[in-house]
Amino acid sequence: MRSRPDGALLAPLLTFHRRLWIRELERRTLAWALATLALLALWTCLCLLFALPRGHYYSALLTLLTLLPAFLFWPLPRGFFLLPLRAADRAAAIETWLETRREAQVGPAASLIEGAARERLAELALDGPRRSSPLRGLLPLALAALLSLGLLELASFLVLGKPSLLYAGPAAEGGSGLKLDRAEGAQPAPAEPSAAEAGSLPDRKEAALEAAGRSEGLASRDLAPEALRLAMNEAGIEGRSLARGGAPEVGQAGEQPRPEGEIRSGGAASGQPIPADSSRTRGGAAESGRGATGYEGSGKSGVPSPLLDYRTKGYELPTSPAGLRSSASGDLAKGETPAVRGRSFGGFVLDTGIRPREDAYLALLRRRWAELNSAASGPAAAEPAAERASPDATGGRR
Amino acid sequence: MKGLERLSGLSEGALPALAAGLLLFPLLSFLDRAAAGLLPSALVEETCKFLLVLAFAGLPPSRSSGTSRAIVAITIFSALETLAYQASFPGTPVWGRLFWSSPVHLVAALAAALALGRAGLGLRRALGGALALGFGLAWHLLANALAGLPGGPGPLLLAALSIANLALIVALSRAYFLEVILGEGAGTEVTDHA
Repeated sequence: MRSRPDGALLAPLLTFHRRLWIRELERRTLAWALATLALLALWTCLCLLFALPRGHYYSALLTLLTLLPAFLFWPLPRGFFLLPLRAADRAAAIETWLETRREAQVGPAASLIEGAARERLAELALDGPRRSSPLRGLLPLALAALLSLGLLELASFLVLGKPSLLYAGPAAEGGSGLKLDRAEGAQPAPAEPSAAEAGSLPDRKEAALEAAGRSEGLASRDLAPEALRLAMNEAGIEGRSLARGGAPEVGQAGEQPRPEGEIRSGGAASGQPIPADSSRTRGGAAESGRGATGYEGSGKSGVPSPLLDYRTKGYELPTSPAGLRSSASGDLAKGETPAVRGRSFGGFVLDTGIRPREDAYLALLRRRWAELNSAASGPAAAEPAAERASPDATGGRR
Repeated sequence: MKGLERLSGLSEGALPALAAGLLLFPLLSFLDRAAAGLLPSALVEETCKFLLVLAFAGLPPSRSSGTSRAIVAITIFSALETLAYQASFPGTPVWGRLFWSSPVHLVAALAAALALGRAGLGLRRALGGALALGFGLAWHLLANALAGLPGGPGPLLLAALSIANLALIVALSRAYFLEVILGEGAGTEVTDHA
């Protein structure tokens, strides 16, 4: 019975089982993705609400991602292969034939059993396992993931004022952690900053921000300016250095001019070259030259979002009382200044010379009457008379 | 709910796998400290993981189920180790562990499960087990040596080992399916002609 031709005969069965297994792996991957999404969204929600450090978020993310093999290699349930085979082979011809092979039972019915199995296996090669939805049985998990995402968005709107899927809380020191061995048992030794890193001002600034954030239980972006300044002072960062991101000026004593493009302006204070894609370099560049405000300074500045800031600029122009011309600039001629100031801070009155609600005939009468009076009493009395005759002579100005 | 139950198989020995995974980490931590300076950490780790697979292979209801649960336990151990590293480097995510360290643990676990889970004679299994242990240990030591290079392994080496890890995982998983899962579930004859 155990002859080589059986291999070709069993190939459809093997393909059938392999397809089942691959489908199960797909389903398990989907289950893992949904479970990861649900748990991570819930955890991100908690991180947002309690302003937890970014490391907590990364821990959950990496742990959940690492757990994929646990989903894939979890033992298959009993009858995983047998039940679909029975569903496809109602007469159990294949199963009976396999049993006779297993028990090495050779009898008069053996050829009949093998013949029936051959027919069914040929059909099986064409049909394959019955199709089912990959979400079958995973609907509760999918709903849980959706609910968690909804909660996360709600928390994002409450805390950040905008939708967010990721968490960008306060950061701390970084490292690689690639090595499998642990010098001090299972707990890896914390990364010791190098001499260059220890002296790096952006790092110290970030550490100060982190420390201040931790002490107040807040994310560093939420800190009040006073608290930030105190934290910086404690870390020994002077205001001058802060404004320039700690980068020493070119031409200072003991400093060589840096080649252009080699070292970015906001790099480490040690003056070592930093790769362009380094996150630390980005942070340093952000802090240099802009006084830690605006887009690059977000996260370390009082401006929550650069978009909000720029949007307000757009509103300022149309609502400005003087429009574009009143903006302070060197282009304004000296003689124009009082006029511009008058337009800017005066009332909204059109000075056109045409007085409102003035009848031309009455105005002519008043003018004539004033002229007559002035002719009668002399030029000195002409002006007060004109004033008395026409109360609107000033054009309505008060 | 029936689908979830079928998926998780919680009724079939979830607790031993979870407990073993959670306990393996503190146990290895203790043993690493005790053997510090005497034995390489990789040797201690791989031996313990191999013994875990061996112990689970003998558990009911079946050898394939036991070895699968051992792989789950080692995955949990790997996740805890990642957590410990993340606690030490809280600022940036240790992404490298996803492509480097955790797959190395999985490769060693799969090799041991393949050797100890397949049906066969005692001697054949013992030889296969020794080979699997040696292979897992060598792979672990190699990964450690590369990670310990001055300045780190570099992007090329990181990519190369990640690809090698992935290829090994796919090959070992396929062999595990054919030799252990199908070999037990549908008769060894099926796998003979794969």
